[in-house]
Amino acid sequence: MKPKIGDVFVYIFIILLVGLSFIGLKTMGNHEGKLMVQVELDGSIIESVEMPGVETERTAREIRIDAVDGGYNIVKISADGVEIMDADCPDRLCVYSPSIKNPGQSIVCIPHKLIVRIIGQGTENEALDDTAS
Amino acid sequence: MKKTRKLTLLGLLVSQALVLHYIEGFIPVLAPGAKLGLANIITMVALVLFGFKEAMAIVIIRAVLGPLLGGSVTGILYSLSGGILSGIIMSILYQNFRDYFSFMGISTAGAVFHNIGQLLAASWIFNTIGILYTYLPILMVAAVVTGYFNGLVARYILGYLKNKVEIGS
Amino acid sequence: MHTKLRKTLALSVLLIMVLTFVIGCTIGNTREYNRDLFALDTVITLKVFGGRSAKKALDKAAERIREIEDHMSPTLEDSDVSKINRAAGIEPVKVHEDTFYVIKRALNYGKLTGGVFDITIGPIVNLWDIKSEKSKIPDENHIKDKLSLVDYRKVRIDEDNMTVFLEEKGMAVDLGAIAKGYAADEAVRILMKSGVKSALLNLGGNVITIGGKPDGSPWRIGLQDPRSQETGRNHFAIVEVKGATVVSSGDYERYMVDVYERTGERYHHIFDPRTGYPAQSGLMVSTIISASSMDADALSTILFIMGHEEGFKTIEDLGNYEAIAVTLDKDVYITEGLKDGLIPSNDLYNIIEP
Repeated sequence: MKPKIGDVFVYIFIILLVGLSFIGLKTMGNHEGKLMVQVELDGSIIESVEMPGVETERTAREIRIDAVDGGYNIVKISADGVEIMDADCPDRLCVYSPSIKNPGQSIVCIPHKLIVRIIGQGTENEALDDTAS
Repeated sequence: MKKTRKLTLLGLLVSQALVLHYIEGFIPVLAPGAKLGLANIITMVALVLFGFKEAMAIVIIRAVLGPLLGGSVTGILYSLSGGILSGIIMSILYQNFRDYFSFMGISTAGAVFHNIGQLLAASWIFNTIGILYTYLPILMVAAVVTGYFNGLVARYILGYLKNKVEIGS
Repeated sequence: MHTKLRKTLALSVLLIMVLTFVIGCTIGNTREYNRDLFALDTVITLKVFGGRSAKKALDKAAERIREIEDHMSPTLEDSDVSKINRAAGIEPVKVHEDTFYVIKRALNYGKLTGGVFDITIGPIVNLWDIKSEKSKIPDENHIKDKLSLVDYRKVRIDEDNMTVFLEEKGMAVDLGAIAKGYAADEAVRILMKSGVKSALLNLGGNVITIGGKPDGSPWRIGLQDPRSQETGRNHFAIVEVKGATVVSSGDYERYMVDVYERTGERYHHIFDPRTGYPAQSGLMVSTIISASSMDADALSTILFIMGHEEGFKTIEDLGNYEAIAVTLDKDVYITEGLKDGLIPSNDLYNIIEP
């Protein structure tokens, strides 16, 4: 049974698709198994960035979040963890919150309705569902 | 072919597709999503025996009822998008270019687009395009194997049916 | 003949459809629904597993939490709590049944503990106004002044008219130590009534579970390391629970950070109604595990103020509650029922067998 000419086209098409998806993977970076930092303001996710690994420490960056009431929070994301550097909320509890770096952890600024959380599958974090504090 | 006869045959094909879909649930898979797609055999048979409209009807009924037999409601979305896309592709290939394709070729193309349809639905549901890139390569390799196998089976079934069943249109 | 065949065919198709629908709806239709809301002066996350009805239940539960906030928030002008405090020494205030119930229960806890748990702590809370920075420790005489206004026995409640009256001008109730617990219990009641069998709620650190995880296994809840900033660890231990609530009270959540950094003294937000100062019972954190979140909320505060010995006695007398008390020396005391339930996860903390 010899494959017909059309069949050959099908197989070429498949090879092309596989190649394309590998290129796609390369260009967009593989998020599998990586940690993401998610910034949620008043119920909607406004920012979602990858947590930098150790090797990219120089990519440490600060994001300014403008809250609904005109206030702000400065979120610093680096390989060492995520923390809030500055904010103009009344209690500034968020600024004093310890930095976070494991999935499931979060920093909250209640006056600005801001949640910064780390999501993803972690290995070190003993697969916990939640934390009582 | 008489109307009743056609209806009965279509009913039979639907139930066969459903049974195949159900049995497939018990067969372990290599990778998530990489299923055998046995129901595609029936789609091919329907396409050859009846045509595009009837084949699509079977695909849609199977896609809706199949996941309800064992699976989640979101499964309907996956099998609908996969089934319809692959049905359209196979119809085009069979009805316009059948001289250039073997059953195995058409079936493989169907399997490929079935996977693409499912992945598109998944990336829409999960709101990420990344899933497409990560799963596509492995699903494509699986499609080559299952598509060939399904095409072979469909060819044997059709060869048998053409002798036994009087098919007119 | 033909019509009969067609009828049979139609009927059997109908039968198959109905059957598959029934099967499909009963098995494997579980999804995860999440909701975050800012209420009760904290952040609340609700995670519910179930079918489409679970989503509706989630909406209802969120709405109910908002309702409770409207009644009990000290910052909302129109809340029952604000009204009661404004009318202190003047007249009784008619309140919503939620507020009445919570105050009644809180007063019972006051009686039970001889005033260790006291919702009239409001004047002290307002005087201290615990902030992270630019905080000021109040003058001793001021504290004495305000302390004279703290007495749960001076709250008069009238069951028939649903009114609450504070006998002296300047008195103020603060339901902060119990309102979150009540809201959690109400959310759980609504979710369970709607058939939710698996859910994980977090009301500002109070963790509440319905059932186990969707796969039937228990929820694994980490207990916040009260000194995580120094130890670099997240948890001091782990508990596994099903259908229970885990509530902690600690000196680490809100305290005068600037004063602490200067002097090493930790002025935190849990006040001892007997002294007017932040409780100093030798504990960093107390945790209660129980079925009712409101009880757990009140009891964790009580345990924190009383300290481990007196607190454990009170809790063991009540029965049905498990407790964990962590001392400043990082010794972890646990009640009998947690002997096999507490999973150590941090070698800096020393678990002491009961």
